[in-house]
Amino acid sequence: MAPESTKNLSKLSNEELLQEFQTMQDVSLFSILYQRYIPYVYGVCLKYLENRVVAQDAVIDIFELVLIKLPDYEDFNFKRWLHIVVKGHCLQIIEKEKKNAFVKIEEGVMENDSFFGPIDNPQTKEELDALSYCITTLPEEQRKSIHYFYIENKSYADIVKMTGFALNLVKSYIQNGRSNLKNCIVKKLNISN
Amino acid sequence: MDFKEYIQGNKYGKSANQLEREALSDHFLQDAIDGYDAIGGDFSNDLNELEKRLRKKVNVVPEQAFNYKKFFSVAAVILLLIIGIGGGIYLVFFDKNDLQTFVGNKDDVASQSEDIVALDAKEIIEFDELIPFEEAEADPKTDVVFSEINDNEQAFYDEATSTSIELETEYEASILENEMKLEPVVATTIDDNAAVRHEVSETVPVEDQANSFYVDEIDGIVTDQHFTQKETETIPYGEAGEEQTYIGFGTTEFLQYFEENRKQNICDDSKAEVVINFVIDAQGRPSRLFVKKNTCDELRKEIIKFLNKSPQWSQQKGAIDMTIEINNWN
Repeated sequence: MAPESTKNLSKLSNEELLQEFQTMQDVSLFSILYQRYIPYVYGVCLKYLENRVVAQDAVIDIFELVLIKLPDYEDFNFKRWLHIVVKGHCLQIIEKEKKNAFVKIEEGVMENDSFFGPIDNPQTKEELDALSYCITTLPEEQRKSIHYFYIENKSYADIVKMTGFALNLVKSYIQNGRSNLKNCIVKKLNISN
Repeated sequence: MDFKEYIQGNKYGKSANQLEREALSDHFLQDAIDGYDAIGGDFSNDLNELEKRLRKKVNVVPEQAFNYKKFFSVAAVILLLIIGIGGGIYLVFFDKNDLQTFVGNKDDVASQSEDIVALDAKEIIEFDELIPFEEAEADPKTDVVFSEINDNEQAFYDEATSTSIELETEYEASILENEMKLEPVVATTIDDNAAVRHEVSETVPVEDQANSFYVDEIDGIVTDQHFTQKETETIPYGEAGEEQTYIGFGTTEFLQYFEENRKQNICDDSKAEVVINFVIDAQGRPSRLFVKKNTCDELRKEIIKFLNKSPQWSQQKGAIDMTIEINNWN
């Protein structure tokens, strides 16, 4: 591909690139799109395969796989679909190698995002009051982590530094804390209503 | 913040916090962050290496990813090229009638004019040769004679008139310019609104004029021609309100002649219409006939018969559109 063409294609959004590929069936177009997701794919492969070399090979294998399996229809969520394909491929590799790896599936912690508006951005005085009250009901670790993360806009690494908690614990406290807050706020607002 | 920047170690501050907040509702992003956090370290080289491998991979198309669409598109283009080139070679080099088709500039055409035979003229000549000529009673109004179509030639008529041939304007223009330049002897302005034809000849009194077609030739080259008719004759066809300059035989004259001499009681429908398009070649003959509309085959055949036997037409630039309608009022 001429350098000028590549420059123009790089300005296209993911959806536009995908559409172009579905029309033109040009592999180079899809490779540009896939390159944008390499950090995601590699990270997920690292999580499940726990090995850099194996994970890198898996990234390239998944590229060939999605090229063949890419659906023809329009308006499908490519990112979501790619995530499922990557996880499936990694689990297949694990099964092939007969590793009895315990794969921690954390979807259960991923709550419906629409609820967490009052936590991320409270709109009414009621919501603000409920949030303020519910935070006080959380266990200390969760309260601290939620406070630093949402109120002081600190990253995980910042909170690790400030609290001394391990990174995975910080994440766990924040995710569990969100869950507890949600249950509390729902109860609070329902009682108010 | 770009995810790559986060992976490469930029994990502090508000930007990192924003990305992490985003990951709380983005499963793919959260899984990926968990993967990098689980292994730890610097992943810049890993990501660069992966991009290089992918670029290398793209140059080799996997067997399963055969692009049928592209293959058939290319095959179709090649097939069209073969047909086009083959057809062109056939037309240029394999002319069954031993006619020379000359393609060149105007000067070449002029210098080799004797060798050039217009394809359409040849066709018209052949067309004439197939039709048996029968001496018909000379019409006092006109010098033109016509013959009946032989039933055996019906198929030929149909074939000859059912297709249209594109006008090779450049070739035709060059022939007209360099070959038969007809000088008008008398030109006059006709006002169709009045539906009265003015005198064409100044030497003959109007009342003594009969409808006649006059042609003067020297060595086969027409030097003078004009069509005259009585002043009181009306012109039933032609475009009303338009002034026309007639140099000789043309559409209006033909239409009148046709109406007066055609077969009567043709076409079952009360109204029939045929629209034709043709050009006048260098010999003054109608050629490159194209039937644009036809509601009655009998009428079409009658028109073609008359066109074929019509006198030499005045040179006219461009194609002629002629509409003929008949009304059978019973």
